[in-house]
Amino acid sequence: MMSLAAQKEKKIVLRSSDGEEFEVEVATARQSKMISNMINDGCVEGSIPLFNVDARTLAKVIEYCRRHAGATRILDEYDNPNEEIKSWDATYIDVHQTILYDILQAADYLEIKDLLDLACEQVANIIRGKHVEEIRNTFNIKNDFTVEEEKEIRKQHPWLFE
Amino acid sequence: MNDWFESGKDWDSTLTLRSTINTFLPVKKKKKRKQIFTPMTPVCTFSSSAGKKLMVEAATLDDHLLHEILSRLPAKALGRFMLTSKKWKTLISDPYLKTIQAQRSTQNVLGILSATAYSLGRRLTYFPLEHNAGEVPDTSLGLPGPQAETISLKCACNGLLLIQVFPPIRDLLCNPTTKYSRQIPDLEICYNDTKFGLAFDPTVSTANFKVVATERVCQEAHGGCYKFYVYSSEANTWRLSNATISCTRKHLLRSASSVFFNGALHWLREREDILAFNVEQEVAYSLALPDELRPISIACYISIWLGVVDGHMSVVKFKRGDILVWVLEDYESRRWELKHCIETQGSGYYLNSVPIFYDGEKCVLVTWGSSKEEYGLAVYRINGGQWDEIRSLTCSGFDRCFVPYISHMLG
Repeated sequence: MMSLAAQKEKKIVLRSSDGEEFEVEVATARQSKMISNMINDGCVEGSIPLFNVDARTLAKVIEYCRRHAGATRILDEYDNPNEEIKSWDATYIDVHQTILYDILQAADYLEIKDLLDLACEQVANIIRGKHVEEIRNTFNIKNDFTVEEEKEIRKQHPWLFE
Repeated sequence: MNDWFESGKDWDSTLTLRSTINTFLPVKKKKKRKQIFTPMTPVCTFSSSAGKKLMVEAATLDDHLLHEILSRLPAKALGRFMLTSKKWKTLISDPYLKTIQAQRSTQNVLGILSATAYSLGRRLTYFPLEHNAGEVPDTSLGLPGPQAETISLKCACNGLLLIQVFPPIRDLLCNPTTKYSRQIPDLEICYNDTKFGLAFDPTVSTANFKVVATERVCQEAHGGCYKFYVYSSEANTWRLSNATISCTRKHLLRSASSVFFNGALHWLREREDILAFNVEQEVAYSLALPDELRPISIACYISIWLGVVDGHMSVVKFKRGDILVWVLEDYESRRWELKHCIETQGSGYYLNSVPIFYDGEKCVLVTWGSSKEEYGLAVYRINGGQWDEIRSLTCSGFDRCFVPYISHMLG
Protein backbone atom coordinates (compact mmCIF):
# COMPACT_ATOMS: atom_id res chain seq x y z
CA MET A 1 0.00 0.00 0.00
CA MET A 2 1.52 3.27 -1.01
CA SER A 3 1.32 6.33 1.19
CA LEU A 4 -1.31 8.97 0.62
CA ALA A 5 1.24 11.48 -0.61
CA ALA A 6 2.60 8.99 -3.10
CA GLN A 7 -0.92 8.24 -4.27
CA LYS A 8 -1.55 11.90 -4.85
CA GLU A 9 1.45 12.28 -7.08
CA LYS A 10 0.98 9.06 -8.94
CA LYS A 11 -0.88 9.24 -12.19
CA ILE A 12 -2.58 6.56 -14.12
CA VAL A 13 -2.94 6.35 -17.85
CA LEU A 14 -6.23 5.30 -19.39
CA ARG A 15 -6.41 4.40 -23.06
CA SER A 16 -9.68 4.79 -24.89
CA SER A 17 -11.01 2.31 -27.43
CA ASP A 18 -9.83 4.61 -30.21
CA GLY A 19 -6.33 4.73 -28.80
CA GLU A 20 -6.24 8.11 -27.09
CA GLU A 21 -4.40 8.23 -23.76
CA PHE A 22 -5.55 10.18 -20.72
CA GLU A 23 -3.40 10.79 -17.68
CA VAL A 24 -5.46 11.01 -14.49
CA GLU A 25 -4.86 11.29 -10.76
CA VAL A 26 -5.25 8.11 -8.73
CA ALA A 27 -8.11 9.63 -6.73
CA THR A 28 -9.93 10.42 -9.95
CA ALA A 29 -9.36 6.95 -11.37
CA ARG A 30 -10.55 5.36 -8.14
CA GLN A 31 -14.03 6.75 -8.72
CA SER A 32 -14.32 3.76 -10.99
CA LYS A 33 -14.69 0.62 -8.94
CA MET A 34 -13.31 -1.44 -11.78
CA ILE A 35 -10.12 0.61 -12.04
CA SER A 36 -9.91 0.87 -8.26
CA ASN A 37 -9.90 -2.92 -8.04
CA MET A 38 -7.15 -3.02 -10.64
CA ILE A 39 -5.07 -0.53 -8.66
CA ASN A 40 -5.51 -2.67 -5.55
CA ASP A 41 -4.46 -5.73 -7.48
CA GLY A 42 -1.40 -3.88 -8.71
CA CYS A 43 -2.14 -4.26 -12.39
CA VAL A 44 -1.94 -0.68 -13.58
CA GLU A 45 1.56 -0.57 -14.96
CA GLY A 46 1.62 1.10 -18.32
CA SER A 47 -1.76 2.21 -19.55
CA ILE A 48 -5.16 0.67 -18.87
CA PRO A 49 -6.93 -0.17 -22.10
CA LEU A 50 -10.66 0.54 -22.00
CA PHE A 51 -12.02 -1.24 -25.03
CA ASN A 52 -15.57 -0.11 -24.42
CA VAL A 53 -15.11 3.62 -24.03
CA ASP A 54 -14.14 5.98 -26.79
CA ALA A 55 -12.12 9.16 -26.28
CA ARG A 56 -15.06 11.55 -26.39
CA THR A 57 -16.93 9.59 -23.72
CA LEU A 58 -13.85 8.95 -21.62
CA ALA A 59 -13.02 12.67 -21.49
CA LYS A 60 -16.53 13.35 -20.29
CA VAL A 61 -16.40 10.58 -17.69
CA ILE A 62 -13.03 11.78 -16.41
CA GLU A 63 -14.49 15.25 -16.02
CA TYR A 64 -17.11 13.76 -13.71
CA CYS A 65 -14.66 11.64 -11.74
CA ARG A 66 -12.27 14.53 -11.27
CA ARG A 67 -15.06 16.70 -9.91
CA HIS A 68 -16.31 14.01 -7.57
CA ALA A 69 -12.86 13.04 -6.39
CA GLY A 70 -12.51 16.59 -5.14
CA ALA A 71 -9.44 16.88 -7.33
CA THR A 72 -10.60 20.30 -8.30
CA ARG A 73 -10.88 22.73 -5.46
CA ILE A 74 -14.08 24.46 -6.47
CA LEU A 75 -15.92 22.58 -3.73
CA ASP A 76 -14.36 24.49 -0.87
CA GLU A 77 -15.46 27.83 -2.19
CA TYR A 78 -19.10 27.17 -1.46
CA ASP A 79 -21.05 27.13 1.77
CA ASN A 80 -23.18 24.23 0.77
CA PRO A 81 -21.11 21.69 -1.14
CA ASN A 82 -23.98 19.23 -1.40
CA GLU A 83 -26.21 21.68 -3.20
CA GLU A 84 -23.30 22.82 -5.28
CA ILE A 85 -22.40 19.36 -6.49
CA LYS A 86 -26.05 18.63 -7.25
CA SER A 87 -26.30 21.64 -9.47
CA TRP A 88 -22.97 20.79 -11.08
CA ASP A 89 -24.26 17.27 -11.77
CA ALA A 90 -27.45 18.66 -13.31
CA THR A 91 -25.47 20.84 -15.71
CA TYR A 92 -23.02 18.05 -16.45
CA ILE A 93 -25.66 15.50 -17.44
CA ASP A 94 -27.72 17.92 -19.50
CA VAL A 95 -26.18 16.67 -22.74
CA HIS A 96 -27.35 15.44 -26.10
CA GLN A 97 -28.89 12.00 -25.89
CA THR A 98 -26.18 10.31 -27.94
CA ILE A 99 -23.59 11.37 -25.37
CA LEU A 100 -25.96 10.52 -22.53
CA TYR A 101 -26.25 6.88 -23.62
CA ASP A 102 -22.49 6.68 -24.05
CA ILE A 103 -21.95 8.00 -20.54
CA LEU A 104 -24.54 5.59 -19.19
CA GLN A 105 -22.84 2.57 -20.68
CA ALA A 106 -19.37 3.74 -19.77
CA ALA A 107 -20.46 4.33 -16.16
CA ASP A 108 -21.87 0.83 -16.07
CA TYR A 109 -18.75 -0.70 -17.57
CA LEU A 110 -16.38 1.24 -15.33
CA GLU A 111 -18.62 0.72 -12.30
CA ILE A 112 -19.07 4.35 -11.31
CA LYS A 113 -22.26 4.01 -9.33
CA ASP A 114 -23.08 7.66 -8.76
CA LEU A 115 -22.61 8.49 -12.42
CA LEU A 116 -24.71 5.50 -13.44
CA ASP A 117 -27.48 6.70 -11.10
CA LEU A 118 -27.22 10.21 -12.49
CA ALA A 119 -27.41 9.05 -16.10
CA CYS A 120 -30.27 6.60 -15.44
CA GLU A 121 -32.20 9.32 -13.66
CA GLN A 122 -31.71 11.62 -16.63
CA VAL A 123 -32.88 9.02 -19.16
CA ALA A 124 -35.90 8.27 -16.95
CA ASN A 125 -36.76 11.96 -16.84
CA ILE A 126 -36.54 12.17 -20.61
CA ILE A 127 -38.77 9.19 -21.31
CA ARG A 128 -41.32 9.46 -18.50
CA GLY A 129 -43.67 11.73 -20.43
CA LYS A 130 -43.29 10.04 -23.80
CA HIS A 131 -45.93 8.08 -25.66
CA VAL A 132 -45.41 4.42 -26.35
CA GLU A 133 -44.80 5.15 -30.03
CA GLU A 134 -42.02 7.62 -29.12
CA ILE A 135 -40.45 5.01 -26.86
CA ARG A 136 -40.41 2.56 -29.74
CA ASN A 137 -38.70 5.16 -31.93
CA THR A 138 -36.15 6.09 -29.29
CA PHE A 139 -35.21 2.52 -28.53
CA ASN A 140 -35.70 1.25 -32.07
CA ILE A 141 -38.26 -1.32 -31.00
CA LYS A 142 -40.75 -2.98 -33.29
CA ASN A 143 -44.27 -3.35 -32.00
CA ASP A 144 -44.77 -7.11 -31.94
CA PHE A 145 -48.23 -7.13 -30.38
CA THR A 146 -51.28 -8.01 -32.41
CA VAL A 147 -54.25 -5.67 -32.11
CA GLU A 148 -55.98 -8.27 -29.92
CA GLU A 149 -53.02 -8.64 -27.59
CA GLU A 150 -52.83 -4.89 -27.20
CA LYS A 151 -56.55 -4.75 -26.41
CA GLU A 152 -56.08 -7.48 -23.81
CA ILE A 153 -53.35 -5.52 -22.02
CA ARG A 154 -55.52 -2.42 -21.95
CA LYS A 155 -58.38 -4.48 -20.56
CA GLN A 156 -56.21 -6.05 -17.87
CA HIS A 157 -54.85 -2.72 -16.65
CA PRO A 158 -57.64 -0.16 -16.96
CA TRP A 159 -55.87 2.19 -14.53
CA LEU A 160 -53.07 2.76 -17.01
CA PHE A 161 -55.12 4.04 -19.86
CA GLU A 162 -57.80 6.25 -18.34
CA MET B 1 -22.46 -6.34 -30.03
CA ASN B 2 -21.69 -6.79 -26.39
CA ASP B 3 -21.71 -10.55 -26.13
CA TRP B 4 -18.39 -10.46 -24.34
CA PHE B 5 -20.21 -8.55 -21.71
CA GLU B 6 -21.63 -11.25 -19.51
CA SER B 7 -25.31 -10.73 -19.46
CA GLY B 8 -26.51 -13.58 -17.25
CA LYS B 9 -28.58 -12.01 -14.53
CA ASP B 10 -30.87 -13.78 -12.21
CA TRP B 11 -33.06 -11.04 -10.86
CA ASP B 12 -35.04 -13.18 -8.47
CA SER B 13 -32.07 -14.63 -6.72
CA THR B 14 -30.68 -11.18 -6.09
CA LEU B 15 -33.67 -10.10 -4.10
CA THR B 16 -32.43 -10.03 -0.56
CA LEU B 17 -35.01 -10.23 2.14
CA ARG B 18 -35.22 -7.26 4.39
CA SER B 19 -38.04 -8.19 6.60
CA THR B 20 -37.38 -5.60 9.18
CA ILE B 21 -37.10 -2.32 7.43
CA ASN B 22 -39.99 -0.22 6.39
CA THR B 23 -38.30 2.53 4.50
CA PHE B 24 -36.39 0.53 2.03
CA LEU B 25 -32.72 0.66 1.60
CA PRO B 26 -31.27 -0.13 -1.76
CA VAL B 27 -31.20 -3.84 -2.30
CA LYS B 28 -27.75 -4.83 -3.41
CA LYS B 29 -27.77 -6.62 -6.66
CA LYS B 30 -25.18 -9.14 -7.51
CA LYS B 31 -22.71 -7.26 -9.58
CA LYS B 32 -21.82 -9.20 -12.59
CA ARG B 33 -18.20 -9.88 -13.08
CA LYS B 34 -16.89 -8.02 -16.03
CA GLN B 35 -14.04 -9.01 -18.17
CA ILE B 36 -11.58 -6.23 -18.28
CA PHE B 37 -9.19 -7.48 -20.86
CA THR B 38 -10.97 -9.00 -23.73
CA PRO B 39 -9.06 -11.72 -25.53
CA MET B 40 -10.39 -10.56 -28.85
CA THR B 41 -10.66 -7.19 -30.40
CA PRO B 42 -14.24 -6.19 -29.86
CA VAL B 43 -16.27 -6.04 -33.02
CA CYS B 44 -17.53 -2.63 -32.12
CA THR B 45 -17.50 -0.34 -29.15
CA PHE B 46 -20.38 1.04 -27.17
CA SER B 47 -19.84 4.47 -28.50
CA SER B 48 -20.51 5.51 -31.96
CA SER B 49 -19.29 8.28 -34.12
CA ALA B 50 -21.19 11.49 -33.69
CA GLY B 51 -23.08 11.03 -36.91
CA LYS B 52 -24.74 7.80 -35.89
CA LYS B 53 -28.40 7.86 -35.16
CA LEU B 54 -29.64 8.22 -31.64
CA MET B 55 -31.97 5.26 -31.90
CA VAL B 56 -29.08 2.91 -32.46
CA GLU B 57 -27.49 4.16 -29.26
CA ALA B 58 -30.54 3.62 -27.13
CA ALA B 59 -31.36 0.33 -28.78
CA THR B 60 -28.09 -1.17 -27.62
CA LEU B 61 -28.87 -0.73 -23.93
CA ASP B 62 -28.41 -3.92 -22.05
CA ASP B 63 -31.42 -5.34 -20.18
CA HIS B 64 -29.96 -4.56 -16.78
CA LEU B 65 -29.53 -0.92 -17.78
CA LEU B 66 -33.13 -0.83 -18.99
CA HIS B 67 -34.08 -2.20 -15.57
CA GLU B 68 -32.12 0.61 -13.91
CA ILE B 69 -33.88 3.22 -16.01
CA LEU B 70 -37.39 1.80 -15.89
CA SER B 71 -37.32 1.38 -12.11
CA ARG B 72 -37.04 5.18 -11.85
CA LEU B 73 -40.30 5.85 -13.63
CA PRO B 74 -43.58 6.57 -11.87
CA ALA B 75 -45.83 3.50 -11.81
CA LYS B 76 -48.23 4.80 -14.41
CA ALA B 77 -45.61 5.62 -17.01
CA LEU B 78 -43.92 2.31 -16.34
CA GLY B 79 -47.17 0.39 -16.75
CA ARG B 80 -48.03 2.18 -19.99
CA PHE B 81 -44.71 1.14 -21.50
CA MET B 82 -45.80 -2.50 -21.31
CA LEU B 83 -47.40 -1.78 -24.67
CA THR B 84 -44.01 -1.06 -26.22
CA SER B 85 -43.22 -4.65 -27.09
CA LYS B 86 -43.42 -8.19 -25.74
CA LYS B 87 -39.91 -7.93 -24.39
CA TRP B 88 -40.71 -4.72 -22.51
CA LYS B 89 -43.90 -6.24 -21.17
CA THR B 90 -41.90 -9.14 -19.75
CA LEU B 91 -39.30 -6.76 -18.29
CA ILE B 92 -41.94 -4.58 -16.67
CA SER B 93 -44.01 -7.49 -15.35
CA ASP B 94 -41.00 -8.73 -13.40
CA PRO B 95 -41.79 -8.57 -9.66
CA TYR B 96 -38.19 -7.59 -8.96
CA LEU B 97 -38.49 -4.50 -11.14
CA LYS B 98 -41.78 -3.62 -9.47
CA THR B 99 -40.18 -3.94 -6.05
CA ILE B 100 -37.23 -1.74 -6.97
CA GLN B 101 -39.59 0.80 -8.50
CA ALA B 102 -41.59 0.80 -5.24
CA GLN B 103 -38.39 1.31 -3.24
CA ARG B 104 -37.40 4.28 -5.33
CA SER B 105 -40.87 5.80 -5.06
CA THR B 106 -40.71 5.46 -1.29
CA GLN B 107 -37.48 7.41 -1.23
CA ASN B 108 -38.84 10.11 -3.48
CA VAL B 109 -42.25 11.16 -2.25
CA LEU B 110 -43.87 13.52 -4.74
CA GLY B 111 -47.11 14.23 -2.95
CA ILE B 112 -49.28 13.82 0.09
CA LEU B 113 -52.61 12.02 0.18
CA SER B 114 -55.14 13.14 2.64
CA ALA B 115 -58.59 12.21 3.85
CA THR B 116 -60.57 12.96 6.92
CA ALA B 117 -59.79 10.75 9.85
CA TYR B 118 -63.51 10.37 10.39
CA SER B 119 -66.20 9.84 7.81
CA LEU B 120 -66.77 13.05 5.90
CA GLY B 121 -65.26 13.29 2.45
CA ARG B 122 -65.97 11.27 -0.67
CA ARG B 123 -62.51 10.99 -1.99
CA LEU B 124 -58.91 11.43 -1.09
CA THR B 125 -57.18 14.71 -1.75
CA TYR B 126 -53.77 14.89 -3.38
CA PHE B 127 -51.27 17.61 -2.61
CA PRO B 128 -48.27 17.68 -4.96
CA LEU B 129 -45.02 18.59 -3.22
CA GLU B 130 -43.11 19.75 -6.28
CA HIS B 131 -44.17 22.41 -8.74
CA ASN B 132 -43.28 20.07 -11.53
CA ALA B 133 -44.39 16.77 -10.07
CA GLY B 134 -45.69 15.26 -13.29
CA GLU B 135 -48.88 13.29 -13.41
CA VAL B 136 -51.45 14.13 -10.80
CA PRO B 137 -52.86 10.84 -9.65
CA ASP B 138 -56.54 10.12 -9.91
CA THR B 139 -57.61 9.66 -6.32
CA SER B 140 -61.13 8.49 -6.96
CA LEU B 141 -59.98 4.97 -6.05
CA GLY B 142 -62.47 3.37 -8.46
CA LEU B 143 -63.88 1.18 -5.74
CA PRO B 144 -66.09 -1.76 -6.65
CA GLY B 145 -69.65 -2.07 -5.40
CA PRO B 146 -72.05 0.70 -4.52
CA GLN B 147 -70.86 4.29 -4.75
CA ALA B 148 -69.15 5.20 -1.50
CA GLU B 149 -70.64 8.19 0.23
CA THR B 150 -67.74 8.64 2.55
CA ILE B 151 -64.14 7.52 2.63
CA SER B 152 -61.97 7.72 5.70
CA LEU B 153 -58.33 6.84 5.95
CA LYS B 154 -57.34 4.45 8.72
CA CYS B 155 -53.68 3.90 8.03
CA ALA B 156 -51.12 3.48 5.29
CA CYS B 157 -47.87 1.67 4.70
CA ASN B 158 -45.49 1.83 1.76
CA GLY B 159 -48.08 3.00 -0.74
CA LEU B 160 -50.99 0.83 0.37
CA LEU B 161 -53.93 2.31 2.24
CA LEU B 162 -56.46 0.91 4.65
CA ILE B 163 -59.67 2.86 4.21
CA GLN B 164 -63.18 2.65 5.52
CA VAL B 165 -66.04 3.37 3.13
CA PHE B 166 -69.70 3.85 3.80
CA PRO B 167 -72.39 2.69 3.02
CA PRO B 168 -72.43 -0.18 3.61
CA ILE B 169 -69.64 0.18 6.12
CA ARG B 170 -66.61 -1.84 5.07
CA ASP B 171 -62.84 -1.77 5.32
CA LEU B 172 -60.76 -1.99 2.17
CA LEU B 173 -57.11 -2.32 1.49
CA CYS B 174 -56.29 -0.42 -1.68
CA ASN B 175 -53.52 0.78 -3.90
CA PRO B 176 -54.57 4.26 -5.05
CA THR B 177 -52.34 3.99 -8.12
CA THR B 178 -53.61 0.75 -9.63
CA LYS B 179 -57.12 1.00 -8.09
CA TYR B 180 -56.59 -2.46 -6.71
CA SER B 181 -58.76 -3.05 -3.67
CA ARG B 182 -59.54 -5.91 -1.40
CA GLN B 183 -62.13 -6.10 1.32
CA ILE B 184 -60.92 -6.86 4.83
CA PRO B 185 -63.39 -8.89 6.91
CA ASP B 186 -65.05 -7.08 9.79
CA LEU B 187 -63.38 -7.19 13.14
CA GLU B 188 -66.35 -7.76 15.36
CA ILE B 189 -64.96 -6.38 18.57
CA CYS B 190 -64.27 -2.98 17.08
CA TYR B 191 -64.73 0.09 19.26
CA ASN B 192 -64.22 3.74 18.67
CA ASP B 193 -60.79 3.77 20.14
CA THR B 194 -59.58 0.72 18.26
CA LYS B 195 -56.52 1.78 16.30
CA PHE B 196 -55.12 0.17 13.20
CA GLY B 197 -51.74 -0.38 11.69
CA LEU B 198 -50.77 -1.75 8.29
CA ALA B 199 -47.64 -3.82 7.72
CA PHE B 200 -46.54 -4.19 4.11
CA ASP B 201 -42.96 -4.75 3.04
CA PRO B 202 -42.58 -5.40 -0.70
CA THR B 203 -39.02 -6.61 -0.25
CA VAL B 204 -40.46 -9.55 1.68
CA SER B 205 -43.60 -10.14 -0.32
CA THR B 206 -45.06 -8.12 -3.16
CA ALA B 207 -48.65 -9.07 -2.33
CA ASN B 208 -48.99 -10.15 1.31
CA PHE B 209 -49.66 -7.76 4.15
CA LYS B 210 -50.95 -7.73 7.69
CA VAL B 211 -53.30 -5.43 9.52
CA VAL B 212 -53.08 -5.06 13.28
CA ALA B 213 -55.88 -3.64 15.39
CA THR B 214 -55.19 -2.69 18.97
CA GLU B 215 -57.49 -1.63 21.72
CA ARG B 216 -57.30 -0.86 25.38
CA VAL B 217 -59.22 -3.20 27.62
CA CYS B 218 -60.12 -1.57 30.93
CA GLN B 219 -59.56 -3.39 34.17
CA GLU B 220 -60.72 -1.18 37.00
CA ALA B 221 -57.88 -1.62 39.48
CA HIS B 222 -54.87 -1.55 37.16
CA GLY B 223 -55.90 0.70 34.36
CA GLY B 224 -55.94 -2.00 31.76
CA CYS B 225 -54.01 -3.52 28.95
CA TYR B 226 -53.76 -3.41 25.18
CA LYS B 227 -54.81 -6.39 23.12
CA PHE B 228 -53.84 -6.99 19.54
CA TYR B 229 -55.78 -8.55 16.69
CA VAL B 230 -53.86 -9.62 13.64
CA TYR B 231 -55.27 -10.00 10.15
CA SER B 232 -53.08 -11.72 7.61
CA SER B 233 -53.84 -11.48 3.89
CA GLU B 234 -52.78 -15.08 3.44
CA ALA B 235 -55.21 -16.47 6.01
CA ASN B 236 -57.82 -13.77 5.29
CA THR B 237 -59.04 -13.88 8.90
CA TRP B 238 -58.59 -11.96 12.13
CA ARG B 239 -57.00 -13.64 15.11
CA LEU B 240 -56.42 -12.46 18.68
CA SER B 241 -52.73 -12.44 19.48
CA ASN B 242 -51.48 -13.76 22.82
CA ALA B 243 -49.42 -10.62 23.25
CA THR B 244 -50.65 -7.98 25.68
CA ILE B 245 -49.08 -5.02 27.36
CA SER B 246 -50.37 -3.38 30.47
CA CYS B 247 -51.11 0.30 30.53
CA THR B 248 -52.50 3.09 32.62
CA ARG B 249 -55.16 5.44 31.33
CA LYS B 250 -53.43 6.35 28.13
CA HIS B 251 -54.75 6.54 24.64
CA LEU B 252 -53.29 6.16 21.21
CA LEU B 253 -52.77 8.97 18.84
CA ARG B 254 -54.40 9.32 15.41
CA SER B 255 -54.62 5.93 13.82
CA ALA B 256 -53.12 6.93 10.47
CA SER B 257 -49.88 7.75 12.18
CA SER B 258 -48.97 4.12 12.71
CA VAL B 259 -45.44 3.53 11.52
CA PHE B 260 -44.08 0.18 10.31
CA PHE B 261 -40.40 -0.15 11.03
CA ASN B 262 -38.02 -2.89 12.12
CA GLY B 263 -40.80 -5.46 11.73
CA ALA B 264 -43.02 -3.64 14.21
CA LEU B 265 -45.94 -1.24 14.08
CA HIS B 266 -45.61 1.90 16.19
CA TRP B 267 -48.22 4.25 17.54
CA LEU B 268 -47.62 7.42 19.54
CA ARG B 269 -49.29 7.29 22.92
CA GLU B 270 -50.76 10.42 24.30
CA ARG B 271 -48.65 12.01 27.04
CA GLU B 272 -46.37 9.08 27.19
CA ASP B 273 -44.37 7.08 24.71
CA ILE B 274 -44.53 4.87 21.65
CA LEU B 275 -46.45 1.62 21.69
CA ALA B 276 -44.91 -1.05 19.46
CA PHE B 277 -46.04 -4.43 18.25
CA ASN B 278 -43.74 -6.78 16.38
CA VAL B 279 -45.92 -8.24 13.66
CA GLU B 280 -44.01 -11.47 13.00
CA GLN B 281 -43.07 -12.40 16.54
CA GLU B 282 -46.23 -10.90 18.03
CA VAL B 283 -44.49 -9.15 20.88
CA ALA B 284 -45.72 -5.87 22.37
CA TYR B 285 -43.39 -3.32 23.96
CA SER B 286 -43.04 0.37 24.47
CA LEU B 287 -40.38 2.85 23.42
CA ALA B 288 -39.67 6.04 25.32
CA LEU B 289 -39.81 9.34 23.49
CA PRO B 290 -36.83 11.73 23.55
CA ASP B 291 -36.32 13.19 27.03
CA GLU B 292 -36.90 16.72 25.77
CA LEU B 293 -40.41 15.77 24.75
CA ARG B 294 -41.48 14.32 28.09
CA PRO B 295 -43.78 14.63 29.78
CA ILE B 296 -45.80 15.79 26.85
CA SER B 297 -48.92 17.79 27.16
CA ILE B 298 -51.91 17.10 24.96
CA ALA B 299 -51.15 20.22 22.94
CA CYS B 300 -47.68 18.89 22.37
CA TYR B 301 -48.49 15.31 21.51
CA ILE B 302 -50.53 16.21 18.46
CA SER B 303 -47.64 18.27 17.18
CA ILE B 304 -45.15 15.41 16.89
CA TRP B 305 -44.54 13.48 13.70
CA LEU B 306 -43.29 9.93 13.97
CA GLY B 307 -41.76 8.33 10.90
CA VAL B 308 -38.79 6.76 9.23
CA VAL B 309 -36.06 8.90 7.68
CA ASP B 310 -32.97 7.46 5.97
CA GLY B 311 -33.61 4.08 7.53
CA HIS B 312 -33.96 5.38 11.07
CA MET B 313 -36.95 5.89 13.28
CA SER B 314 -37.38 9.64 13.70
CA VAL B 315 -39.48 12.10 15.62
CA VAL B 316 -40.02 15.60 14.26
CA LYS B 317 -41.35 18.59 16.10
CA PHE B 318 -41.77 22.18 15.00
CA LYS B 319 -41.00 24.61 17.78
CA ARG B 320 -40.85 28.39 17.46
CA GLY B 321 -39.73 28.27 13.88
CA ASP B 322 -37.24 25.44 14.32
CA ILE B 323 -37.63 21.96 12.90
CA LEU B 324 -36.29 19.58 15.54
CA VAL B 325 -35.41 16.07 14.44
CA TRP B 326 -34.62 13.27 16.88
CA VAL B 327 -33.26 10.04 15.50
CA LEU B 328 -32.99 6.56 16.93
CA GLU B 329 -29.61 5.73 15.40
CA ASP B 330 -29.64 2.30 16.91
CA TYR B 331 -33.13 0.97 17.40
CA GLU B 332 -32.06 -1.61 19.97
CA SER B 333 -30.33 0.90 22.21
CA ARG B 334 -33.51 3.03 22.34
CA ARG B 335 -31.41 6.17 22.71
CA TRP B 336 -32.71 9.22 20.90
CA GLU B 337 -30.36 11.86 19.62
CA LEU B 338 -31.32 15.36 18.65
CA LYS B 339 -29.90 15.13 15.16
CA HIS B 340 -31.00 18.36 13.53
CA CYS B 341 -32.26 21.70 14.66
CA ILE B 342 -33.18 23.48 11.46
CA GLU B 343 -33.82 27.15 11.83
CA THR B 344 -36.43 28.11 9.27
CA GLN B 345 -36.39 31.54 7.79
CA GLY B 346 -39.29 33.90 7.24
CA SER B 347 -41.61 31.59 9.07
CA GLY B 348 -43.54 34.13 11.08
CA TYR B 349 -46.80 33.05 9.60
CA TYR B 350 -46.11 29.41 10.29
CA LEU B 351 -45.19 29.59 13.93
CA ASN B 352 -47.97 27.27 15.03
CA SER B 353 -47.32 24.54 12.54
CA VAL B 354 -47.47 20.80 12.95
CA PRO B 355 -45.25 18.52 10.89
CA ILE B 356 -47.00 15.78 8.91
CA PHE B 357 -44.13 14.59 6.76
CA TYR B 358 -40.34 14.85 6.77
CA ASP B 359 -37.76 13.15 4.59
CA GLY B 360 -34.56 15.01 5.36
CA GLU B 361 -34.97 17.35 2.40
CA LYS B 362 -38.36 18.82 3.03
CA CYS B 363 -40.77 19.13 5.89
CA VAL B 364 -44.49 19.42 5.26
CA LEU B 365 -46.54 21.15 7.91
CA VAL B 366 -50.15 21.91 8.62
CA THR B 367 -50.34 25.62 9.33
CA TRP B 368 -52.95 27.98 10.53
CA GLY B 369 -53.16 31.71 10.56
CA SER B 370 -54.57 34.20 13.01
CA SER B 371 -58.09 32.96 12.47
CA LYS B 372 -58.48 29.30 13.25
CA GLU B 373 -60.27 28.78 9.95
CA GLU B 374 -57.21 29.57 7.87
CA TYR B 375 -55.68 26.15 7.64
CA GLY B 376 -53.13 25.33 5.03
CA LEU B 377 -50.31 23.02 4.06
CA ALA B 378 -46.82 24.44 3.74
CA VAL B 379 -43.60 22.79 2.73
CA TYR B 380 -40.22 23.94 3.98
CA ARG B 381 -37.32 23.02 1.70
CA ILE B 382 -34.33 22.54 3.90
CA ASN B 383 -31.53 22.97 1.36
CA GLY B 384 -33.00 26.04 -0.27
CA GLY B 385 -34.28 27.38 3.03
CA GLN B 386 -37.60 28.52 1.64
CA TRP B 387 -41.27 28.06 2.35
CA ASP B 388 -43.87 27.11 -0.23
CA GLU B 389 -47.53 27.14 0.49
CA ILE B 390 -49.23 24.15 -1.10
CA ARG B 391 -52.89 24.73 -0.60
CA SER B 392 -55.35 25.94 1.94
CA LEU B 393 -57.42 23.31 3.66
CA THR B 394 -61.16 23.57 3.84
CA CYS B 395 -61.32 21.99 7.25
CA SER B 396 -59.12 21.80 10.26
CA GLY B 397 -55.90 19.97 9.58
CA PHE B 398 -56.39 17.99 12.72
CA ASP B 399 -59.48 16.23 11.45
CA ARG B 400 -57.47 14.86 8.61
CA CYS B 401 -54.94 12.12 8.04
CA PHE B 402 -51.97 12.78 5.81
CA VAL B 403 -49.90 10.02 4.27
CA PRO B 404 -47.18 10.12 1.63
CA TYR B 405 -48.33 9.19 -1.86
CA ILE B 406 -46.15 6.39 -3.19
CA SER B 407 -46.96 5.15 -6.65
CA HIS B 408 -46.23 1.50 -7.35
CA MET B 409 -47.85 -1.49 -9.00
CA LEU B 410 -47.88 -3.85 -6.02
CA GLY B 411 -50.61 -5.08 -3.72
